[in-house]
Amino acid sequence: MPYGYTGKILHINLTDLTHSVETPDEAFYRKYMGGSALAMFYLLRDMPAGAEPLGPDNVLVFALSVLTGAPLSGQSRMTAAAKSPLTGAIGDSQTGGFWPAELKFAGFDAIVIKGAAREPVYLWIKDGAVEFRPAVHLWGRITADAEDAIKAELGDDKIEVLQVGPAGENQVRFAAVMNMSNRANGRTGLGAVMGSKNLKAIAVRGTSKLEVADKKAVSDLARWGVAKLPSSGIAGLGKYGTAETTGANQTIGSLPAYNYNSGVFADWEAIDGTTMYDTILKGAEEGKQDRLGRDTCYACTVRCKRVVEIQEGPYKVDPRYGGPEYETTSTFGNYAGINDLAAIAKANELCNQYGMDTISCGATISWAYEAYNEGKLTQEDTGLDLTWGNAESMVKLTEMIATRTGFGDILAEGSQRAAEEMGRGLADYLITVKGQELPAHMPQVKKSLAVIYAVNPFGADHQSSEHDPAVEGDFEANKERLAMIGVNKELPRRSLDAEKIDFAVRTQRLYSALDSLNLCQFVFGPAWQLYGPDQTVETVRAITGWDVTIEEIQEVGERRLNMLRAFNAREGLDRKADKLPAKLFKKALKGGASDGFKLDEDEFEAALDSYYEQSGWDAETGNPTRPTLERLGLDWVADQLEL
Amino acid sequence: MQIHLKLYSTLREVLPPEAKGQATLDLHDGATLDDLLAQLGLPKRVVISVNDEHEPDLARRLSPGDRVRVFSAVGGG
Repeated sequence: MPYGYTGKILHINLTDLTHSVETPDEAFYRKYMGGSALAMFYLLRDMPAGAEPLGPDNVLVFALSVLTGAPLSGQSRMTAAAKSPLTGAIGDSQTGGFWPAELKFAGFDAIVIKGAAREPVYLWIKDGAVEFRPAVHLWGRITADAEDAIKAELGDDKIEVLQVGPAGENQVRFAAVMNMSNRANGRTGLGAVMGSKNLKAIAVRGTSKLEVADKKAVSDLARWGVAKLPSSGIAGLGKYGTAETTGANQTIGSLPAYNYNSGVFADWEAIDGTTMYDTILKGAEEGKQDRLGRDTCYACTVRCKRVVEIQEGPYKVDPRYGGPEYETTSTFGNYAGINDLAAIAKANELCNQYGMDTISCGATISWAYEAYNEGKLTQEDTGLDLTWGNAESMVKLTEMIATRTGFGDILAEGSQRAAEEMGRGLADYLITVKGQELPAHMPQVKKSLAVIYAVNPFGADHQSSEHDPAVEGDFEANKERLAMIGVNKELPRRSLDAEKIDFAVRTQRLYSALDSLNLCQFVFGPAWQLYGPDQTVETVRAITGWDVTIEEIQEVGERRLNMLRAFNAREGLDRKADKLPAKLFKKALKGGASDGFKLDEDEFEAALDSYYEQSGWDAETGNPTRPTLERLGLDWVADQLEL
Repeated sequence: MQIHLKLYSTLREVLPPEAKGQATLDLHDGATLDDLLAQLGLPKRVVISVNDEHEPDLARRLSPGDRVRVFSAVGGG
């Protein structure tokens, strides 16, 4: 019996409703470790190049890691991966919650899904047994209703349900995969893939216990984390949620406002994490929000998840659907100049009911707002008044997108497709990379993100590397941990030279490893997180018994990045796809600490050259080379690419 | 001299709960942001604005009536 993992990969064929179990050896698990890297193994092995993202040839993987289910903060996470219907490139997204640990207890490390069912079905997995069940009666139902119905018909409240909502069924291109009705594999539209396969849900229940190699070491790590949390860099994030960062981003001019035309939003304080804590968290009126207004993932002491309850006013919000993260308060708030926290919480609720990515949804709406305010879209097009700051229209549009109603139907294609289809110069307002909308950290301010957003294989992503402040103003506080991954020098603010790219590459590899180990990037990381790189190594050792080093962990991250890029290369993508929105170069930001900031084309292209070189990739194509793939044990991938 | 202070998230817990993070403080003339943080027992790894402008330099001397906001510094999110 291995430590930390079950040794079983479940393969599902939805076309003929059959399943099989694969039992890879220990070397396989040590090489990929789980999550995104493990998922990439199956996508590259089993999916034909050129597969239609919303067709039966797409392969959808849900992967845990060799750590998932251990009694330690930050480990109950799962990677979903498939070809993205939003970008046409690799799709990859992580979620937390209780479903990941429950799947491990039910006996599997990953589920690889192929084909498509003729009629809606759901999977029921209990202690290693797998059953296909009809889901016609669940189709069209919002997440909490479907979750309740599944638990009722299976007769067990402790079941965890992963599912698509109506947005995934309607193949909204940024539909999410939901669990607990409030946790999302949000990005890259994997809910649309699941919906296209007529797979409504995966219900899991497990009663087995996870064996770890060194119980005392795991327990010591857990106890250290509990003791350290109050004085750690994530204490505020736990208590006040990720939206506690709103004020700091406003101050440094990195709070994207008015569809990325400004880095400041005058009304930021109306929608920040401290205000949310004081006003709309469940229990806030009686001062009981610490107990009632915060939720968690399996075995996590941080409790960063928001639980919002609004019982009065135009926007009532059911706590069942959680509450908004910083990304969500930004995309539904400052992105469109909206200062109504209740409306934002309502849009978040709608996204969780229908199953949609709040980043792409909010940013697609803000794209439409800019076009409207520039006179390129009219009320005749939209059916709604999209004047900056109009909260009511934002909430209406969110539901119209989920249901593909009216103007929502074209927005459900994502902003890039909508711009291409409508013409009229609407592409000038796009804030997309590879068709995926930018998250709420600004590359004009945190300049390494300019490169990371551009090169990231699944489109712009803010959780793929450490942000610049860690190696700029905050270097002193972070230097011990950064040194563990070879970053040894404080760098000037807003630099984008080879040294900054070295920082970006090294932290990107660690973040990539964390997405393979499926560790939460607030709990584990290279800087301000609860646990540092040394404790990441100790965690893998304690749970698996493997004598790993930080170099081996970094290599897992590098391996995964090469597999993601190789997938894209197979689909015909190259350096030409590593582009940022034109407006980031052409239009200077207005107001605040980032007033006048824009990116420089020459500096950016030189930084890309440096990035490819430091990654061991071909600078002309931006794609992995055979020597690099062979060094990472990916000869078979080099063969696929005919290198 | 007096300055107007507002603290956010966990930082405000150095003040009584009813203050909701807001206080008007007496500081000695020529006091710096560093002095302010030390007086309140706040960490140095923070993001600060003075009169709504970002101030990364903790050696900045404050002036009477300044409005100072202090935030936790967290990346990502």
